Amino acid sequence: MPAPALNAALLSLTGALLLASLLIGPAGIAPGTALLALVQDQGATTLVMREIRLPRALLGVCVGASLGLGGAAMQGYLRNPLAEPGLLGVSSSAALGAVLAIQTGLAAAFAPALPLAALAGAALSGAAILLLAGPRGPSLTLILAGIAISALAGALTSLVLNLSPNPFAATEIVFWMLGSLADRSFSHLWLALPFMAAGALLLLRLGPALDALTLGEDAAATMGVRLLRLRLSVVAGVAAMVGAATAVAGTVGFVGLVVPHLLRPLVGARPSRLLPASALGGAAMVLAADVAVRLILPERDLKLGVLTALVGAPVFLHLIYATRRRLG
Amino acid sequence: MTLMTLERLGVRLGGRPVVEEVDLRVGPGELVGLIGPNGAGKTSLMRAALGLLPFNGSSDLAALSPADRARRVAWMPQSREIAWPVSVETLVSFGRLPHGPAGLPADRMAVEAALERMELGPLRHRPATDISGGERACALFARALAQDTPLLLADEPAAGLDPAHQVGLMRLLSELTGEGRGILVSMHDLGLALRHCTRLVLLDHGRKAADGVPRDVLTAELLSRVFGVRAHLSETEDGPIFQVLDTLR
Repeated sequence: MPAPALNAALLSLTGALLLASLLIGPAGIAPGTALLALVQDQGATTLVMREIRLPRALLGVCVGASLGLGGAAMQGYLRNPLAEPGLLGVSSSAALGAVLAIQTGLAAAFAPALPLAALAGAALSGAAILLLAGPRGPSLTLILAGIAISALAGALTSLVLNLSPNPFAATEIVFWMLGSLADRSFSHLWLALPFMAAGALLLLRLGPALDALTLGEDAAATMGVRLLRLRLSVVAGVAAMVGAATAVAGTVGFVGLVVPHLLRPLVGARPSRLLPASALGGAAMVLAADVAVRLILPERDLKLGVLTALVGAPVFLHLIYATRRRLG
Repeated sequence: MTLMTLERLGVRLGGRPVVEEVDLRVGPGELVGLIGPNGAGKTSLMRAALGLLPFNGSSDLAALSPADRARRVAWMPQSREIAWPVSVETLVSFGRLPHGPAGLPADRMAVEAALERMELGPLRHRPATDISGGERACALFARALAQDTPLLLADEPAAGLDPAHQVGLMRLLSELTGEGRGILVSMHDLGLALRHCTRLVLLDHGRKAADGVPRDVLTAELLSRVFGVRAHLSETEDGPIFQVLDTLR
């Protein structure tokens, strides 16, 4: 599919889902009233629209775009369709930061402490991965470093849960880790947005380098790609975007894995074209999932991360099956 | 004028010297065949010359900035790696990446010319991962051609090609040098090397054992000492003919 047509289609899909996300909710406001309240002060309705639904919808766009773009960049850099942004250990480290903030009571005393601690966790894991993998090592060392960091962060999170004397904190931790966009405010958006924007600027510029990398590291290096700079950009960009997404939404799995995979055939498998397409596709997928959790079990607070995993895993299994049939 | 100058180039891998004290120049119009037994250091020599491996001595290519180097020399590695199922045409167009934003008429012309030279027209819309190994080698070579550089380094580009494509590739290399390009190509088929190269460089245990016109390099003495083989070489109406007859070890 030509690039402008595909991106326009994905953009309209995201726009439609953004509208749906604004119009659907437990308050049961009629669509016309809802949109009017957004632009004109209508008392309580305006409060619901501006302070609850609008930040939730915009966060859905930002979180989804971060996960989609991060996934496309990781797959392009590692030349592996099974790569996902969580592979660097950024999500689990951000989750560990958040869990510590909840457990220590910091999050209760000072609300922004939770996302800030998560961001700090993501930054630390990014730095640790670069140190562990070294400047010249092959991408395999980067994957191994990421797995080690992930495992360590996961173990420490389990330790916190294990030793938690407070069952309420433990429940809060578990629910937070499931991933959700419910009850988020604009302060979450303003906190995450600078990191996401900086990461997007870094990652969206990597298209030509990732295209060259299709031919392997040696060929790419002789085509003018600075491999060290590329590695730094990928790790920093993914850490910033996915760290910020995890900080405000918890762990939302499978988006970064499935979206680039679904869109790859539509962009002729070109890594450069996959970057913007996956950002838009990720935004659409998270918005759709966030609308779905409100429709399926409105009164039970179904978590976003649970739904993306429930839908994502079978989609992924189907993709594996299709790949096997094509290669076999 | 030279396109590549290596002086006293040495490479150590895992503490072991694999290339030692090699001086080598390649100029425009030269088709230099790099020959030597397995493990003689052919690939390491070329990778170090491009700055892909740490080395001592000097290489003028490695001293260039990555962007300038990409416009001076194109490199076709031995690995036929293609990570994504991009179309053959897209794969070849990646050769234009060092020349700035894609889509200029000059880029399209270079890609078309490369596709035509490698006779890839019928395959242009096929995924590059779904074609045969030999066709893939042709597509990757076309990518290097599309880079349109004065110097070309290729690591065994003829490996895995059928006889017609092997001869076709060597003839194409001759044509490219006729246009004033310089080419350094590693190869194992000494018969092809003798017939097509303007010069041969023989590596033995990382050192240069001989450097000169093919007839002076493929002597009975050097063949026995470096390759451990006995061979027949004769001049015929169809040009020189070379055939390995037996091993000596």
